[in-house]
Amino acid sequence: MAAKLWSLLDKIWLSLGSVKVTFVIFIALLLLSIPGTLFMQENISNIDPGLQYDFAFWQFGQWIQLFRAYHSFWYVGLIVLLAVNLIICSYERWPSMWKLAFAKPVALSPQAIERKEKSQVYEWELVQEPKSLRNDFEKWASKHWIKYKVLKDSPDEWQVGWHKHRLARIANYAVHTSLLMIFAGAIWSGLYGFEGLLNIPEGSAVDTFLMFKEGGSAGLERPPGGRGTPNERMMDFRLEAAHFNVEFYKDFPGRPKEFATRLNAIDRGTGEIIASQVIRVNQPLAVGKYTFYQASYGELGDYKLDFRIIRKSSLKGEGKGAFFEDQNFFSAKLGQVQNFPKYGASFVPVKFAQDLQGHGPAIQVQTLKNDQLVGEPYWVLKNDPVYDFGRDSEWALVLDEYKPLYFTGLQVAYDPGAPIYWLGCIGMLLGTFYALFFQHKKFHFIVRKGKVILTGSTHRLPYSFESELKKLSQSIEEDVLGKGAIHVT
Amino acid sequence: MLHEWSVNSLNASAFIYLASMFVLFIGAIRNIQTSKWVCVGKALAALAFSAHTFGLLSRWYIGGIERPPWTNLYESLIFFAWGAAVFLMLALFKWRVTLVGVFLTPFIFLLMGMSVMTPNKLVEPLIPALQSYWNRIHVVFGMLSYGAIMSGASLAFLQLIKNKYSIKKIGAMLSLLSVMMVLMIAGKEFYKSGRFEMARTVEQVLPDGSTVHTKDIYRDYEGGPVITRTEEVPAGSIPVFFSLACFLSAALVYLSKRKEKDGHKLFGLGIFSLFVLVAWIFWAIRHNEHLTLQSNPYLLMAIITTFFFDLFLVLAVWKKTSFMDSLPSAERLDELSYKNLLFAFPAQMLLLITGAIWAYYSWGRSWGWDPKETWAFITWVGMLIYLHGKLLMKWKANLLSVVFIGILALMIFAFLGVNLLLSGLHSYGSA
Repeated sequence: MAAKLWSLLDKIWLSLGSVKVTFVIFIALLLLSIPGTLFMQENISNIDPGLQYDFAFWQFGQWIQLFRAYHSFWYVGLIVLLAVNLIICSYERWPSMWKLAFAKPVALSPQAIERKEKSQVYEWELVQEPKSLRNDFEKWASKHWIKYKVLKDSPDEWQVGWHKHRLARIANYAVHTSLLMIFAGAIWSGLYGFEGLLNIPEGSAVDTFLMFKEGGSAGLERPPGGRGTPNERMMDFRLEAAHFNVEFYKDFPGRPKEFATRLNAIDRGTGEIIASQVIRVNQPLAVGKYTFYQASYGELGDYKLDFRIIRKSSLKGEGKGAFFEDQNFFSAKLGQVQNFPKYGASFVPVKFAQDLQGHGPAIQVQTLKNDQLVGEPYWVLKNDPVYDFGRDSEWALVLDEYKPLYFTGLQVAYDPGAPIYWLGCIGMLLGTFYALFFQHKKFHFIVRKGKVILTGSTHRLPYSFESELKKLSQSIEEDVLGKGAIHVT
Repeated sequence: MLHEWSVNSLNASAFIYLASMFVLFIGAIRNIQTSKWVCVGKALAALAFSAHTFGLLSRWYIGGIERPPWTNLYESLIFFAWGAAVFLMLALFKWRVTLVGVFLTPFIFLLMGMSVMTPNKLVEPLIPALQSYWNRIHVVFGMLSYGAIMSGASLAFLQLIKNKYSIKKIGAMLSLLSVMMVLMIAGKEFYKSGRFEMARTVEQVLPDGSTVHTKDIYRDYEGGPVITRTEEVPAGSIPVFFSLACFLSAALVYLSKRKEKDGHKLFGLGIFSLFVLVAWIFWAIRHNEHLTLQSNPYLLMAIITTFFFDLFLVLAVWKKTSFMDSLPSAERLDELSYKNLLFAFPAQMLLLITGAIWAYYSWGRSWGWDPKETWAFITWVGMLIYLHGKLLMKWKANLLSVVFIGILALMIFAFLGVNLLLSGLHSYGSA
């Protein structure tokens, strides 16, 4: 029974490690990557797929995890299968690969040379003394950094051999190990990291953010008292957007040139600022394990309005020197009640218009009496400061400046697996270059029966190898054999 | 002034590439060794390449060193076409496989023609997310990889023809490729309602903040704000349906045990319907004052390119013997296409990795399964299949060539299909 079980396991092991399975996995990987690009994926910044598709399809999609395709059981299962296949394949092949890469050079028999392709064999007549030839060869080899081994040293034959880029044969192991490292890093990040977003109106502070994925809590706690949505998580500190600024290109209205936020991280207990930095796109702020990225911004729909209130009767002087003696500067936001008992004025700015019937920016203001709205609302025009002086009142309003208020859009992430997968990426790149562009090459230099032979072979694809061998033969012809060398083939 | 020169030379290069395609083809059919047409074709290609390069460099000069000319769709079309053109130059002047020119120029013309029809050609300054070193590096690898894939797949196609690969299978592959192109051109409206529309549907934001879907008939980019008129436009579903049906049935006939002649007839009908489609589009533009060539810049180009591509392959199969004689050995073609893949594979890997690094510094996530990056990954998996097939399984050249053409299809979708279609498919089913 046990023997049967073992043989069954053995069979599974071998079939999981077969190259055919590798190709099945590749094709499956290619095909199963597609659905996630066709159907909307669950994401906190997207609309819920449930609203996008009709109910029956949505239910089906939920069942096969179509809307979280890249974290679904079938996709993750496939990646696991790929990893298992890779590990078994590598394990099974390792001894033979190692042997091939690090085998000592073996002397070639005359028959073995005859079997070789003609383009890989160079032959000359031996004209000089065998001993001086050896000396010249030694000099040539040390000049070209070639470490050869003497394979045969008898009176009628002298044969040496050397290898080049042995590691190219096992470079694929570096690539595949790196791939596994990338998987490991991604899993680590998925288990212990988090990603989320938070929008902070300029001037205010928050202590929670919205996590992208529901579920993976990454050790973060929900806000106390069940505050907020299920995706909301507490941060270890309060985060204040002290200041936000967006700069636009002059000739391209609406196209932002740069936007930046002054972020302060404030200790929740002591109120101390523990970190402070201006962040921009591509310039994040790191506080402990949290890193904050400037991702977007938006208008709050509110404005900072710089007004002046002026007593109309206080005009002094004439002509260019005229001025109002009694005036007061103040800043307001829409909906903020302003009381000026000195002028007997009480009012609230209620509405902003970017362009009021061709007169430019304007603010609609409503008068108050005992905190009740009275009378008709009126407009204060930015481009026409004396417009409000026509209103029947002792005082008038002038709008000096207005500035839209923004919220800053931040992304927050903690990615503990990053060093592992970046290392994996580097390993994979270097390994790929080595595996693809270097070949394990073997060379033999033989002096036998009045002939000198140079031959070589490579472990794969002899495309550029032949020209390399030709160059080597030319170099040998020049430096070792001398001018009298007679080419046979 | 320089901007005008730059745009004009880029526009001109598109048509010079087209001319060189014709001339090279005539030369190849006559006699590739001695025909003067070949010399003229090569000279035209070199001229187009110089105009192209000049346009690109002058654009870079206008934008300043910090703003390389590959930051929006218009520029990336030109830049990726330039990548393919570099390989065209290699094929014509280094590898001396003149016929690659015939297959590669339709692709270059596709991209350049799309760029000609793109309405907004201004050198716009960069938004903050694009002001990154990684942007510059990332796109260069994309250009290199996709250029190498286009040229490698052309070589693979020639290898198939040279290696006496069955005409039926070549026909089937071409039919399927044409089906893919037509489906991609047809657009999201076609899948929703079976209506093939001349003008793109765009989302327009009204002054009160709400959004409506309108037909983007005419957009005036040069003079300030965007003017959009909503108009009922003609739809041409019949030629699209017809060409899809022809190419699909041609593919089925080629794949079945029927005679290949029947397939040829259907394939010819498909080409004819593409021709009808192009003619209909021009007719519609002439008779509808609201339609311009820019109404849907990518549609017309893709149709014309599919048309040329199919037509040339029909001629190639028809003039088989002179084609065969003008090609290098199948082994040499296989070797060259493999070398293109050897170039494309690490470049694609660097494309993915540099993109991940850029995303990591911008958003704190290195991989987000966004459709564009997923399709680039899918293309890379296609190359993995090729490489493992070649190095591990020692697949034969014909099979490898077929895989390479598959990689080309994946790449076309990753580069153009994702942008043209997928945003549309997201709203599929919402109506």
